[in-house]
Formats: sequence, C-alpha cells, structure tokens
Amino acid sequence: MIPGLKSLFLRTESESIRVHWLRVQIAVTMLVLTVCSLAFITNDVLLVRRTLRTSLESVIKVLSANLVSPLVFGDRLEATKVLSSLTALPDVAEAKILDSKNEIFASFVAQGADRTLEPGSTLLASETIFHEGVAVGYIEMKMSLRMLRSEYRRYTIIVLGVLFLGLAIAFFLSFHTQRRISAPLTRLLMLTRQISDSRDYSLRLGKAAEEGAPVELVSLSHEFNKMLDQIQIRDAQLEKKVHERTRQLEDAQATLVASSRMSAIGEMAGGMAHEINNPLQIIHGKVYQLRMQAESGRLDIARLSRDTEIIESTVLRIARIIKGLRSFAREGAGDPFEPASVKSLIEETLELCAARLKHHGVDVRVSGDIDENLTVECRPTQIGQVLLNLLNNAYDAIDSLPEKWVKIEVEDRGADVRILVTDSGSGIPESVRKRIMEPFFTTKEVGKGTGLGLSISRGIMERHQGSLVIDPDRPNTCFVITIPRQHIESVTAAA
Amino acid sequence: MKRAFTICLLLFAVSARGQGMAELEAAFLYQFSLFTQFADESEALTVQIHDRPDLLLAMQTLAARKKWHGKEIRVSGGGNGTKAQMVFLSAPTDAELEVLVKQYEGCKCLIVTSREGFGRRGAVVNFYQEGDRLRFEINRGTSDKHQLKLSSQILRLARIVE
Repeated sequence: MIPGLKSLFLRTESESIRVHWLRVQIAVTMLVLTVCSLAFITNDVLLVRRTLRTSLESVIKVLSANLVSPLVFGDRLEATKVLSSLTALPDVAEAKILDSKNEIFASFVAQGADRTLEPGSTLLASETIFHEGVAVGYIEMKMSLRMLRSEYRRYTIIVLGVLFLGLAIAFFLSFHTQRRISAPLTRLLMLTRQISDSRDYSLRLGKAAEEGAPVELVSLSHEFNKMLDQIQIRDAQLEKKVHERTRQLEDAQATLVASSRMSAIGEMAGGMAHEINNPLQIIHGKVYQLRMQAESGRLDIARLSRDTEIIESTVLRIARIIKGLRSFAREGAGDPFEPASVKSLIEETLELCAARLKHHGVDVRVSGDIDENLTVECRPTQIGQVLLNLLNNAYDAIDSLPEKWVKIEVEDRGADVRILVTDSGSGIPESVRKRIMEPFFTTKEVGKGTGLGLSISRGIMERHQGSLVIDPDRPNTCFVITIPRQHIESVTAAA
Repeated sequence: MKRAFTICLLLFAVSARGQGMAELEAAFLYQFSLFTQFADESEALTVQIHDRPDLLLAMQTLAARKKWHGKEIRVSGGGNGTKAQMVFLSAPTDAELEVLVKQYEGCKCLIVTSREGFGRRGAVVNFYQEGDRLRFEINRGTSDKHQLKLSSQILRLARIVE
C-alpha cells in the first residue's frame, strides 16, 4: 500500500477511536468512490470513443455507398453535395474524397475546424470505396473529439459531485455510526475515571448507556458491571479480613504493651520494694514505740501527735507509690486528654523509680524549677509510661558506667513543651539510632528487654501529636519528648 | 484489376477534355446497367446499339474486357432489340427517333437516347451536354412502365424528368 494511503487507515497513538473511525470511513468511501468513478469514467470514455469510432465508420460506410455513383460518373458536384451532408454531424471536422488516381475529388471542412483540429484532438477514419469489386475512390474523414472532451468535463463534474455527495453522506453516516460505538465507550471511560478517582465501586453503567449501542458494547457494559460486583464482593471480604487481622494485631499489640509494661514494673519492683519497705519500717518503729509507751502508761500526747503525723505522711507516701504503680499498670489509651502539670508528671514518675535509681547509685537531677502552672493536654498515665520507660532505659544503659546520672530538663516553647531525658551515656551509634524505635529492636541482653518500649513510647507520642526523638548533637544520650500544649481533637479523631 | 483499370480509364475519359464521346457514353451505358435492376433474369447482359457505329465499337470493346455482375455482356447493332435488356436508340431525325422509340414501348428494356427532349418522349435515360460535361436525365414514369428499378444512386445523379 502507498505509505500516504496506509497512514489514512492506521491509528496514531494519541488519536481517539472516534476520529480514527471517521477518518477510516471517509477514506474508504473516498477510495471506493474514486476507484468506482475512475472505472466509470474510463469505461465511459472508452465507450464514447468506441461509439464515436463506430459512428465515424458508419458515416464513412454510408458516405462510401453514396459516393459510388458520383465517383463512377465523375460527378464532383454530387460528391461535394454528399459531403456537405456532413454539416449535420457537428463532430466531423474534415472529409475528403480521393479518386482512383489519388487526386482530391471532393472535400469538406467544417466551420471552425481549424480550432478543433488540435493535435490528438481528432479521430481519423478512412475507407476505400469499391464498386463492383473495383476501388473507385478513397474517403478520409476526421472527427473532432470535442464531444469526448465535453464528456470528460461532464464526467469530471459528475464524479466531483458524486465524491462530494458521497463524502457528505459518508461523514453523516460515520458520525452517527461512530456515536453508537464511541458514546458507550466514552461513558465507560468516564465511569472508570470516576471509580478510579472516588474509589467508589458501587457505581454502575446504567441502562441508558446501552441504548442504541452495538451488542458487543452492551455485553462489555454487562461484563464491566459484573466485574465491579466482583470487586465489591472481594473488597468487602478483604475489609472483613483486614478488620479481623487488625483486631488480632491490636490484641497482640495490647498484650505486648501489657508485657512491656509489666516488664518495666518488674524492673522497678526491686526499687519499689525498698521504697515501700522503708516507710513500712518507719511505721512499724513508730507503732512499736507508741505501743510500748501505752503499755508503760507513759504515753506522751505531744509525741503521739508527732508520731501519728509521721505515720500518716509515710502512709500517704506509700499510697502515692501504689497509686503510681496502679496508674502505670493501666493502659491509659482510653483515658481522656486532660490538662496535666508537667512538674507533677515528672515527679510522679520519679516517685516510682527514683528510689531504685538512687539505690543503684544513679544521680537523678531535675534541671531548674519547673513551673507549677506549666500544663499540657495529655493522657497523664501514658506520658508517665513514656517517661518511666526512658528512665528505665537510661538506668539500664548507665548501670555499668562509673559515672551514673540522669538529667531531666523541661523547655517551654509556647505551643509545645519539650522534656529532655539525658543520661551519662556517650550517645547512641548511628546504626543503632536508625533502628532504635523499631518494634522488637533491643540492645539489652536477652530476657532483659522486650524491644517494644521505645516503639510503644513513640506511638504514644504520635497519638499525642507530639514526638519522641534522639538528639544526636549532644555528647550524652538524650531523648527528647515533645508534647503540644493543646491537643487538637479532630486530629486525634482522624488518627 | 482489369476492371479498375477500365474504370480508371473511363473516369479519366470523363474528366479529360477531348476524350471520345462514344467511349464515354459506352462507359455510362455500362454503369447504367450496373445501377439498374431488370425485370427478367438472364444469363448475360444484352445490349443493342442503333445507328451509332462508334458507340457500338466502343461498347463492344468495353464488353470484351468487362463483366456484368460476373456475366457476359453481349453487344449487337441494329434490328429489333425488344429482346435486349438495354437499347441505345439513335436516328438522323427526331421523327425517326420517335418512331423508333415507340417500337420499344412496353418492352422490359432500358431505352437510352442522346437527343434533346427525348427524356420526355419515351426514353428511360437520355444523355445531354452541360458545358463540357456529359450528363443524363431519367424518366421515372417510363422506367416504371418498362419494369425497371433504378438505383437511387443513379437517380440522384440524374436530372429527373416526367
């Protein structure tokens, strides 16, 4: 196929089916019409040419028959008269009769023949005139192809008209036909886009999309809708599975968190036993002294009052420790966000572990005076858990070091509050730092840590719209907790 | 080829000034016979020439060389030619010629004369001069009476008289 012609039928990458369909239809129509027209013209021209020749030959035969007697009787006048009858045939341009001596016997030239007798514009025919088997003359005739040219022109106009009309009809029909094909496809495309954008698999191609569409496209619509049904069913099943798995994971996570918490409590247990044991000893001593005084009858009222105060304050201290323990043992995830004093949060946490740290020679320092009124909206139990986890980690990290201290600093930055927990360790290597917040990652010896403490703590801080990060620029190991002063509910709800 | 040659000669004779009238008339007579359908079929064309020895000679010369539709041409002079198919009549005077023509009334022959006015006086074909050209007139009524069918070609060339 000719490259130009081929390109008419091939679809370009960016071309729509609609345009391609129109182009192909019109190209095919044009091609067919052109070929048919050319065949028609060629056939007709040949026919006209043949007709002209036949006509010319017929005329020549008639003339020959009529010219026998003038030739035989040497009647030039009659011969000329016979030839003059050719004026009735406008296409005969010229005729001449030669006698048997090859001399012009008679001739005829049509009016305006000079103009029509251009080279190649005439049809020539000749015949020898016989009489009783003897050649008595010769006739030669030229016929103008004016009629043929006129036919050419007429055919060209007809062909152009047919082509134009055919083109218009083809365009009209193609336009209507392509609408039947492309419109359902366009609707399908629009729906696909809509589904893709909204991820709403409940959308369907309506019955209107099938109106006037070919059977294949109606089937395609049905299949497309069927596919959407199946996707919806699959999605529902997947969602159900995801819910189930999520619930299982949440359960597992809750278990792990509880384990982690219990592990932390276990780690504190030694310190707390000491912390509780000491006040109990005090209470026990004071009660013993008071009982001795009562038995000896020398009960000093002033001393009684002082000792009971000591006992009361000691009991309260124990109660605080127990409250802290209870509070820590609670998950706290369902607690409401409430304003909590940063100072209290730190003190209550230290209450739980300070004794243990001190018992192991760890110097716990709270940097500067923390403003009593500095509050953050949080779940206090969870923030306490984070702080306790950091202090426990600090203790584990520095326990073997000669210099053991833990420093707590508070920075009020207006919109949020930063609590920095720094220990005497020399920082965390980058390779560990990158993974330290990952679940189950731990550098502690086997059985000592769950590897969940920091990942849970980070999760808690993220739910508080805050953060838990390591400050790598400090010479010592420093964890930084950031808590927004105000908790934005909608963000939490969305989270 | 012989015929062609003869015709050529005859045509040349027609056009050539000073050519013998007898030869020309003989050629015409021969052509008349070719353009005429006679009432009776015969095995030869019989031609009778009256009182024109030169024409008789010319006709005999022509007959010796040519055929009539493939048949022989028999030429004779004088006598009653009612049995002939073609008769050329000539007489010294018009009265004599008229008498002669009347003798052939009712016969199925082509009567040819060469006298002014005889086209209307019993001849089927009558020669006449028009300038230096020999022409002829035909009487359709007479030809019908003699049961002759003349070709339209010859009729077209002739002057028709009634």
